[in-house]
Amino acid sequence: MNDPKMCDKKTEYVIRILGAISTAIMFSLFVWFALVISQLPSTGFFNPEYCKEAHEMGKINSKLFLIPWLVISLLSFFIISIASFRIDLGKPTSGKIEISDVFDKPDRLFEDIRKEKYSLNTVILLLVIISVLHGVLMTLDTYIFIQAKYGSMLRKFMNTTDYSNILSYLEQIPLALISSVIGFFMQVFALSFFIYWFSRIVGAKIPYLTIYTLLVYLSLIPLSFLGVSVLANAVSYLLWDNVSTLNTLFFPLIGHLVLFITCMDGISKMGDISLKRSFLVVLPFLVIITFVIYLSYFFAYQLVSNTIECVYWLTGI
Amino acid sequence: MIKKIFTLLVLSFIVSGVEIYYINSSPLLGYGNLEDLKANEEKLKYLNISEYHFDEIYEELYEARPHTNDVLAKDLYKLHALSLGFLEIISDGIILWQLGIFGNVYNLSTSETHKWVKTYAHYRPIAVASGLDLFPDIDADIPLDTMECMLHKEDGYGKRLATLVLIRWFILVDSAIGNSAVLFENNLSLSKRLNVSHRKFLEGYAELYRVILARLSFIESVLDEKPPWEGILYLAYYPYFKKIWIVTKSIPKQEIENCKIIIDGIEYKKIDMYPFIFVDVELGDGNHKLDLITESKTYTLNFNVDTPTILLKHGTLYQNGTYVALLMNVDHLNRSIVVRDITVGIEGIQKVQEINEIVTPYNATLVRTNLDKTFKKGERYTVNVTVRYMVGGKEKEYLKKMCICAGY
Repeated sequence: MNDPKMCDKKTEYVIRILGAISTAIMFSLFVWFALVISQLPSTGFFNPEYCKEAHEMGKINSKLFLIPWLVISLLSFFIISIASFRIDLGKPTSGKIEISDVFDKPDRLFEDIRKEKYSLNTVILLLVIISVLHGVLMTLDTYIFIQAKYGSMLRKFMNTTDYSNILSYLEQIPLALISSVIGFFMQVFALSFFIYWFSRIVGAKIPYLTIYTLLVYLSLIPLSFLGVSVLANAVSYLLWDNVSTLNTLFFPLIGHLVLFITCMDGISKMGDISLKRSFLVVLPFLVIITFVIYLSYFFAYQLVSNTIECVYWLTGI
Repeated sequence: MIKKIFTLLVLSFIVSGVEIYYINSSPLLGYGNLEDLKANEEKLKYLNISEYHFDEIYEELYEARPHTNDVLAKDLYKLHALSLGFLEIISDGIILWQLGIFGNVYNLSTSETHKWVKTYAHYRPIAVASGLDLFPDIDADIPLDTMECMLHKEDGYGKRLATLVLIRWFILVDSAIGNSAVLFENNLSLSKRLNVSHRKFLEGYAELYRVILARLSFIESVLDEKPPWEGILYLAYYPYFKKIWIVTKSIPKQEIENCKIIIDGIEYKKIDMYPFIFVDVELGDGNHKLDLITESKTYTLNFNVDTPTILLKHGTLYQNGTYVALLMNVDHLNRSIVVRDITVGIEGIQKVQEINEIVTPYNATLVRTNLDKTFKKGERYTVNVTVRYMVGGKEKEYLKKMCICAGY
């Protein structure tokens, strides 16, 4: 280790403990989410007439629901904690990585990260900047989207003005920033953990912090997609008083797909494994992103009309 | 890097531009004129309604109409319109309730069976029909349940909201003989209480329904994304007053004013009180055809006039399998009848119950049958009832199909 400050024993423990806690929480949330989603088709949630038989909603057995979640969460917490202390963190050295390499020369980026030519402090700083920017952009995007789609109704029926709306939104920015920063840190810790162990399974030995750094730099891709989407939305709102749903909801998600595809390439090159094997490493995340895209579609295009039908069934008209 | 991000930006602009062009090229949601959604306060004053509700809200709702291709904005707008539709129905329902037309307009006591049955038999319409391809039954035991059985799955939710609720009201009022009183009785306590002439009262009543129909039709067109259903919403024939009452829906006022009413090929004079039309006519038993001919379209409605000797009302189905109903002798020739038996058919089970009871003119008797079957509370069952009875030395049969919600 050239710079003892970068990854001394204390830092190592902090990374392992924070990583274990973040991964356990993220995994636990994922299990909860998966359990909820798995139960929804049986209730007819995705069926437009799901409220026709309102009592069918009682099919969810909350006790059975809670027990497997608790068991899986506790078990995974122990396994993740043990696994975290068996992780090879790697030895980052000081160095400078060009941010433009993420877009222009990804091979040079992979090579630099592989040779551990990066500073952990810079990586963490970059992650903070990315998460803050992400929080700000998301808040702005939500504000523009709500104004464009429901603004006229909000103003007419709730007697709000553009000015009072934007003020109430600005008040939310600190909270959005805090949750964005914490969420980003946890997400990168958890993703690095799983990619680390999945890579091991397929035969690639890439240190944990190398994957962590790779993910932080590659996070610039979805951030740029989001930034571009917000800019296009802002211009579109000013010009046409409306925004594109595809651009708002799906464009940033494509950024995440590109992230994992680039990550697949990176793992293949850094771990000296074939693309087929690295594809297996990122496959679960590609599936999750694809499912999130479907859910976004469902919530944007189906849920409200389903709710209208549900109201009809419940009122008996 | 800049080049790639710029390419992304261009792509994002193209996506936005194409989608917004797609949205803006579609028509605005909802059909109707803003002016129609507002009430004529002057006319409503005769109903003692000084200020009618939601005028401004409808103005704002109308102005905030999104484009039909704007999925998210459209769905939220629909949800908003739907909630307003429910509010409209509740508020108007309260106004009608306060007018007293849902209640006992003739102040009759059911303990005075003879008077009650006689009044009911005189004032009830003996024919009701709707251009909605529904078969409303004026003697429906529980109108709400009967309507449930009439639902057409292919009908849009907006159409159901804007038509079934109103037909329910008409049937509910007609089953309590309120409509004949409201529409034709000059000395009714209702207009007396309001201290207005019957004519003024009726103008206010028609205006109230005009606004309700216009608003619900607008909401219907928003929810179903097509023009609202138009035609003869309700027709009722009142033999005591020798009048037909027609409620039209979404046919423009000008067309109604210039329309012709032809019944069985003969043109009749009409009295317009938009959206109502009154026709003075005397009809005999049997099938009849009414044509409402406007400049652009002809609305045809077939209806059946039937003057029965007996009537079956207030059918109740208990969980333990007991069916109870009120059998009334409404023979207009004032003859007594001998009820032989009653056959109740439900879910493939048929049960015959001997009665052998004499019912004097304008009197009623409770008939009770045990079906030896248990029923699920809250479940709706279609019940076919046949009553065999003797009148004037001849044996006759009375058939009735009911839709009853099991209870108790």
